Amino acid sequence: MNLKNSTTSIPIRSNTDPKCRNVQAGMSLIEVVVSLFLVLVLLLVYVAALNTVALVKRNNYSDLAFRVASKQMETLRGTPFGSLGDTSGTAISDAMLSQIPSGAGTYAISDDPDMDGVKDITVTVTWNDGKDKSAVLQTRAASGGLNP
Amino acid sequence: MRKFSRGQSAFTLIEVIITIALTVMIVAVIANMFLTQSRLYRSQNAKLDTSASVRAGLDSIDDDVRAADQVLASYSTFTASSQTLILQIQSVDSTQALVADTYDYVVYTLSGTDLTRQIFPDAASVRIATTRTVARHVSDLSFVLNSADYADVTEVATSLTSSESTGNQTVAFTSDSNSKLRNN
Repeated sequence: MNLKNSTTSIPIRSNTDPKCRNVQAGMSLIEVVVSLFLVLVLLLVYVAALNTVALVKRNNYSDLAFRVASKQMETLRGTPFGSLGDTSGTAISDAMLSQIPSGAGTYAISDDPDMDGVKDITVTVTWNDGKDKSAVLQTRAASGGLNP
Repeated sequence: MRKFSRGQSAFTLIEVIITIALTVMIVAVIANMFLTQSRLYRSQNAKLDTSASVRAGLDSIDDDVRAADQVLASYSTFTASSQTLILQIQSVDSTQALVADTYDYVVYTLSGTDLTRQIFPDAASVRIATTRTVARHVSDLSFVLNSADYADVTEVATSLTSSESTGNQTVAFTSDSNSKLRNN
């Protein structure tokens, strides 16, 4: 090892100050930056894993909401045309709604504005998983079916 | 020899103790993080598994009920119950045309905790005789028909619960669906 070279490379520290005889090499900037980066990456991975929890929850809520809506739709589609009374919003009662945070649902039936003898049916389920969400299903019904 | 001319000071006891204490603390924190993470991973896996199971099971049942002609009280060795559903579906040939007066039979039943779908096709049908598991870890299943007389059934309400234990907790997912027989 060339001592001469190593002392000349740190001339300020290795000079005559008697208190500074035990020269300690600090960490270089690169080392600090690399280790900080590694810690950051680990933290990011951890936070990303935590995010999946919320994601799975939200996914389940929307799945349940669509089930509620499609169940109601199935019932309405099975209702004889003559019994489909106009309504601007009838509440859906379904036990599954209690599994969704602030889950509520309505269905609306109205005459189609363009076609005579055709009704528009809209089923809406709303819930809140931090944000307001809604699932909407729409269909048309006609006496004897739309495609005779 | 630089090494000896300097005179190396060893660690003092205090320094060693502090170092060990810090190491233990850091290891504890990291171990705790890993344990939490693995518990989380298992419970999330179970949640995905159960909800996917319920979804796949209900979708399959809905599809078949909508295509069905009739719900039967019994078929071969099967007897309909709140956990067994027997559907009679008109056969289709290789050109996807319906075959008159010929029927395939689809049976949903529990085998252990698996919900299985068995197909018993007619010889003229393009459907293949298979047994397939459509939902796993089923802990509760009920079929409710809208008529006590099987010949009059037009609607099937299905409730399906799948639950899985992940060691310290049980994850369960329940969903139900209604479907109407379209073909009668």
